[in-house]
Amino acid sequence: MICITLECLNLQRVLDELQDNSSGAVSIFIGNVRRGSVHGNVLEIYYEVYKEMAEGTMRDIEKEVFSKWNINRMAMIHRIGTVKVGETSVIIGVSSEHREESFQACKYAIDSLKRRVPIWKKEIFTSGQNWVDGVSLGQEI
Amino acid sequence: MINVITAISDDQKIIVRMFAILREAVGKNEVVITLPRGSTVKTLKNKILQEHPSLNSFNGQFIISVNHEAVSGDTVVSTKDVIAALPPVSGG
Repeated sequence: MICITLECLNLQRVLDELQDNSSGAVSIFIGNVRRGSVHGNVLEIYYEVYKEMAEGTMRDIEKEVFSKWNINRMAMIHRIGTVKVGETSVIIGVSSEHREESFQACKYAIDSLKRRVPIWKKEIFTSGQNWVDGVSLGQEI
Repeated sequence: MINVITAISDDQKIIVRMFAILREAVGKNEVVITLPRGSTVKTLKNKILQEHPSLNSFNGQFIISVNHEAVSGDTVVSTKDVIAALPPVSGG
């Protein structure tokens, strides 16, 4: 399941998606908006996305995960728009027969999402805002 | 007269969607860049920087995507392509 949404993320929906009687392991990564930043106390984060490209890249990552590990189900959901401190911005879930595959696959998926999916975040403070430094997608010019 | 018409038709208008910090820097969701037909991503990026000096502070730290994919600088662009300028990503 690949999903980019303006709505609050629902962990139970992800767990339901991963439910599979052949899976003995479910690994979940949850990313929350935190207060601390090098620029001060964050009130909320504004997430912007290039949706058409982001969905394609997330599907690519999903295919890679299924080709690298023997897993049964996978979910990647990312919230966009304004997300307040303490709220969840991203959930990655993987189910597999044994735990090692789901641990590794889950880490690969979130690391790849952060490095490759065209999503940007802007920290909002009491006074001011800051686009967070990111990772270049890379282009040979 | 024929030469004049040829010269005009040799140019194409490329629409470039702008995202995040780049969108705020130029103050628009998209910019229109006029380029000769057969121009590459590298030429397009240079022309964007030339026409929008506010982007120079990013020191080239953005890429041009073509049809939702990061491509190499020698990729030829046309008006039929969906083109965007993307700063370094920071999702999650």
